[in-house]
Amino acid sequence: MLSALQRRYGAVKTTAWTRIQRLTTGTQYPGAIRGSEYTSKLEFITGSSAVPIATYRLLGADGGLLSASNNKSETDSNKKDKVEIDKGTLTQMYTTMLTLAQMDLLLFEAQRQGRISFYMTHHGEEASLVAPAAALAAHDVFFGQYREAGFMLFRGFSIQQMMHQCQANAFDLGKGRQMPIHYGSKALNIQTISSPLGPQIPQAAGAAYALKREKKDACVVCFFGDGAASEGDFHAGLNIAATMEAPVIFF
Amino acid sequence: MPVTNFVSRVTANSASTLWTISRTVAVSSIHRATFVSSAEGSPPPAEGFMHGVANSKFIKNTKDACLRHPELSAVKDSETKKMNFFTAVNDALATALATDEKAVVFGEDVGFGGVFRCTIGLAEKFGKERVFNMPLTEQGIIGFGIGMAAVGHTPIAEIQFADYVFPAFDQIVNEAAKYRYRSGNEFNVGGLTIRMPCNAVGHGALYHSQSPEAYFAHTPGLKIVYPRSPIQAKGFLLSAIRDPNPVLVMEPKILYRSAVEHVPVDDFELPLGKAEIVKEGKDLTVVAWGSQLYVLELAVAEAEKRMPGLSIEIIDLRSILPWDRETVEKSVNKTGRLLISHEAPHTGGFGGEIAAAIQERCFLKLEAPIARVCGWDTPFPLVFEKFYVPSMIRCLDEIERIMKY
Repeated sequence: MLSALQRRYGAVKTTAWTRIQRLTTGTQYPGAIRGSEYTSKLEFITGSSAVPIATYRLLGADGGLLSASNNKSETDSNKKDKVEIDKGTLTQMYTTMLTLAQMDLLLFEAQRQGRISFYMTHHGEEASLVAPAAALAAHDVFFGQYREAGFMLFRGFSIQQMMHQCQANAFDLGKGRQMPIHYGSKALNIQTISSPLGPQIPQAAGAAYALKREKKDACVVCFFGDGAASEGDFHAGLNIAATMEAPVIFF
Repeated sequence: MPVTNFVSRVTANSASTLWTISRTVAVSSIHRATFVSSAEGSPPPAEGFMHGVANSKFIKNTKDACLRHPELSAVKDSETKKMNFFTAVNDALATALATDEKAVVFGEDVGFGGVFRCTIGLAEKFGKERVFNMPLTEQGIIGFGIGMAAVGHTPIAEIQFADYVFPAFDQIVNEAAKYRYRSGNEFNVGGLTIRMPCNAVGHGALYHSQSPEAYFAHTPGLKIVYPRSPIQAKGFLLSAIRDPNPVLVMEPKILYRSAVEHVPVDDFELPLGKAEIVKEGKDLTVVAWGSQLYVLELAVAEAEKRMPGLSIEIIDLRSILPWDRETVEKSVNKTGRLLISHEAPHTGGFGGEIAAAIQERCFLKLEAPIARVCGWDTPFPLVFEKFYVPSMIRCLDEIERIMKY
């Protein structure tokens, strides 16, 4: 009977079978990857008993590439992790990173001189902004915080458009209504930046669910900082993204 | 004595307070006759019940009475069905889901039908992908809705009680209301609709009785609508869903079962931003919204009985944002007197906005100061509810004062 179910339902059967197994062994909540085991022993959970999620790092404190990623031999298991990027894209990524760094120097100075009222630099984050933009497609929806100009530049939001917005002039797509760096572009699927920290997180989950309903081969990417990760919206947003199984990358 | 303790904490500004309280304690026979059910002795239903609504002239008890209304001229050939408030809401939601593939309905416990049955049968009919439960997080629920609307979908969010909308205040005020403006119209969340049961229910106390319209009225970018009957529940909800702005639909929960009338079964919308003169008059204008209309109806009937010749005009404001200044102004220019009544507390209540705007426009025509009969400036109490709300007797008292000014 199991093979008949297997033929008929494929993946569904696997999930159902796993559920049956779980019912006898542990808890099960919507969106949970794995249920928790039952225990009859009460104990305090201290910091040392939980294994933290590893922090991704490529460069060492001296700015050099860390050896561990250098010496990986090409086995089958890590061959599939290697991403081949064509020279054109690589050049574009690098150019964007350099452009961003230069733009930051100029506009930061402009802000300090009072020429524009507000600016957020991206020093040290150039790669982490350009890479997601290069990895994702033009129809993937972007929600950000305030430190993602690198993503936008790669996608095609020009320096000129950024200057219009920072100057709040007649050419600003935002019609001069917001402080500098609150960029947005419908054409590039860049949702307009807003000042409050965190509300974009559950919004990203909602937009992702909408894309899923459309059966679109698209996802949402949502940027925010570790500071904003203390906001209530962070916990609400991630919880909803998990329970609704929304196709969203929280960066 | 609990009543006097309560009263002493109340920051009332008139000596009539104690007088009114004592009259309420004494209990007028009219009030009792209308608000105590014929099945006296049996407890009211858990969802609350307002008996007087059944006898109201504002309720359309026949198909003809329903379809006669000029605002329903587009569906004058429709069949009608007797629906209560929550059934009308359910009908509107089903219509929205049927006519807009991008519409979804979500909130806490909406899957099984909702705590007030507004979403009953919808998950079965339209699927769990379109009608679904949300985790217990209002900020998440509304944020999620904003995200869906930002990419062009039609999310219809339910906040289980208006009293719990506050965790979502930042999302509503800082995000939803400002989405179109701040993006220079690159983006908008016009597809978002937020429904919430509000107002006194008889036993709701602090956290199941609030009317939060004033907090949101202060936010440009939102629309707020306040249906008082099943026809309006359906018509306003459909308008709200289809309006290209984020709209809050405030549903007085005591009316879910109490208000029953003939409602067109066809798809129809009622205009947002327009008040309705439900009773014409020439001596005094009274303005209210939601369930308070029925209280005023009784107060007005009694006042007109006690003062023969008196004719009072009753306006149902219907929309708080934008509100229909023109209709109220025109009425007050005719009558010269205005009384506003709402359950929300006196200070900072929306009645203040109406009073300020009308005195600006009608100053020389006013025969008496503009009066407001509102909830007291305290949190909403449990056992003192009958003293807290702007009851029929308090409204009657105020009408008599204005007319004798």
